[in-house]
Amino acid sequence: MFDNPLVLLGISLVCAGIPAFIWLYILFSKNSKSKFVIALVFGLGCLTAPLLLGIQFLSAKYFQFDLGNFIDTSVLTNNTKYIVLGFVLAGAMEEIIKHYAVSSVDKKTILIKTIGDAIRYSLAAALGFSFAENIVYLYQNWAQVSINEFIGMYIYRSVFTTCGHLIYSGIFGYYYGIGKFSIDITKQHQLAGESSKITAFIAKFFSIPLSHAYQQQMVLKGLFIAITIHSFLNFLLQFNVVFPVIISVVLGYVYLQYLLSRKAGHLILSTDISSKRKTSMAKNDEDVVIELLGLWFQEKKYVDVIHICERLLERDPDNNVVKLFKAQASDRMDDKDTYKTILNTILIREKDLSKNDQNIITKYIENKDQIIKSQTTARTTPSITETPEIKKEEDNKKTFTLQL
Amino acid sequence: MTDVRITIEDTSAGTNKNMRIIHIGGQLDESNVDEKIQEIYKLLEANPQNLFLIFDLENLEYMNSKSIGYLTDIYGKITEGGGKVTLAKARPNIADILQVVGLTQLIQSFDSIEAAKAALSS
Repeated sequence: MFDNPLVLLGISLVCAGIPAFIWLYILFSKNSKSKFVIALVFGLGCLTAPLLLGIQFLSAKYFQFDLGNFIDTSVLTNNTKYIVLGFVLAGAMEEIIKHYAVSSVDKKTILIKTIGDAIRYSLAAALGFSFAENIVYLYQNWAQVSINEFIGMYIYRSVFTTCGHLIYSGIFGYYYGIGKFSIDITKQHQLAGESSKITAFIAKFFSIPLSHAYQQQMVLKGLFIAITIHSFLNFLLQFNVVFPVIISVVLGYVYLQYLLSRKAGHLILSTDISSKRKTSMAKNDEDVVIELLGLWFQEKKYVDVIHICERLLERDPDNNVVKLFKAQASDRMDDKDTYKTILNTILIREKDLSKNDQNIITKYIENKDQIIKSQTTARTTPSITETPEIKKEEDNKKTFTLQL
Repeated sequence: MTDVRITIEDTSAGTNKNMRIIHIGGQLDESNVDEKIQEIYKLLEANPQNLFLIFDLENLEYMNSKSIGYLTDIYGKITEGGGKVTLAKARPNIADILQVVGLTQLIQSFDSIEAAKAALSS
C-alpha cells in the first residue's frame, strides 16, 4: 500500500497538515483577523515552496548551479566557507520568497494596517511554506528511514523546524511593518531624539527622504536578521548540534511573542485618507504640544506623555505620531515595571522610586489632590454639616481624578 | 531673535501678599525663551517663599514647547515655596495648548487680572 505514490503523498499531506493547523490554531484562534485572509496568505505561503523548487530547478538547468548539490559537496569536502555560503543563499531565497507572499498581497490590498498585522501575516505565510516543505520532506524520507527515526524526524520538523520558520518570518515581518509605517515612525523618532546616523547616511547617499531611507534600512535589517538566524540554525543542524538549536528556537519564539505583545504593534497606522478625521486644533498649536511630547518622552516622563496624548487624541483622533508616542510610553512603562520587578527580586532596596518621580504634571496634580484632601479633612473634622464650598472642592477633585 | 516682552509689575501694595504680575507679550520661541525666562527665575531667587504670581498672557501670541516646560517648572518652585500661580487673559490658542498639556488642571486661568488677583488674595 505504501508503495503507491498517491497514498504516500496523502499520508505526508495529513502528517504535515496536523502541526500546521495546530500552529494556526495557537497563533490565530484568539485573533480577530479574517479567517479567509489568513487562509489566503497561508495558501500563498504553500505555493512559495514549489516556486522555490522551481527556481532551483531552473538555476540547475540553465545556470548549472544546483544549490542542494553545492551544499552537499561543500559538506563532503568539509569546506566551511562554502557551507556557510550555501546556507546563506538557501536562507536568503527562502526568506525572500516567503516574504513575497505577504508583500505582494499587501501592495494590492491594504492588508497590513498595524505592525502586528505584518508579523501575523508573515507567520501565516511561513506556516504555509513550512507545511509544503514538510510534505516534500516526509514524502522523500518515508521509505528511507525506520519508523522510529521517522517519528523522531516528524516531531522535530513539526515543532522546531516549523517554529524556526515562524521566527525568521515573524522577525522579518516585524521590520517590514516598521518600514511600511516609516513616515510616522521616523517623525516620532525625530521628535523623541532617536534619529539614526545610518538612516541619515542612507538618505544623503541615495538622495531620498529620511522616511524612505528608514524603510529601506528596516526591510534590509529584517532580511539580514532572518537570513542570519536561518543560516546559523541550518548550519548547526547540518552537524547534528541539536541542543543549541532547541534553545535558540525557544528564545526566538519568546522574542516573537514579546514583539506581538507590544502596544505599539497594535496601533492601526494605515488609515484611509478619505475617512481620516480632521483635527479640531490649529496646526501650529498642535505642533507645539507634539514637540513637548518629544521633549518629555526623552526625559522619560511617560505618565505625562500618556495623559497629554489622550487629550490630544480627543482633538485629533487619527494622528499616528501621537498614537505612537502614547503606545511607546506605555510600552516603556511596562518594560520599566518588568525590570523593576526583576531588580526588586534580586536586590531589596530600602527606597523604591515611584513611577511618578520623573513626571511633572502628574506629580503636581497628585500633590494638589493631597493638599485639597488634607484641607477638606481639616475643615470637615470640627464641623458636622458640609459647607457648599467644600462640596464644590470635592466635586472639583472628582473631576481631576476622572480627567486623569 | 523674535520679539518678546516680559515685564514684572509689583502689585503687593494693598494686599498682605507678595504679589507680582508678569506681563508677557510677543512670541516665546526657541530663539528667546532661554534668555528671557531668566528674568522670572531671578524673581524666584529673590523671593523663594510665598510668592504669588499672575501671568498676564493677553499679548502672548505664541509659546513653544520649551516655554511650557519652564512654566511647569516655575509652578513647581512657587508652590513648593508656599506661593500660588494663576494665569490671566490667555488667548484661545494659548489656552488651548495649556489645556491639552494639562497645565490648566494645575494652574487656574481667569479672564481678567482682577479675577486672578481675587483668587490669589483669598
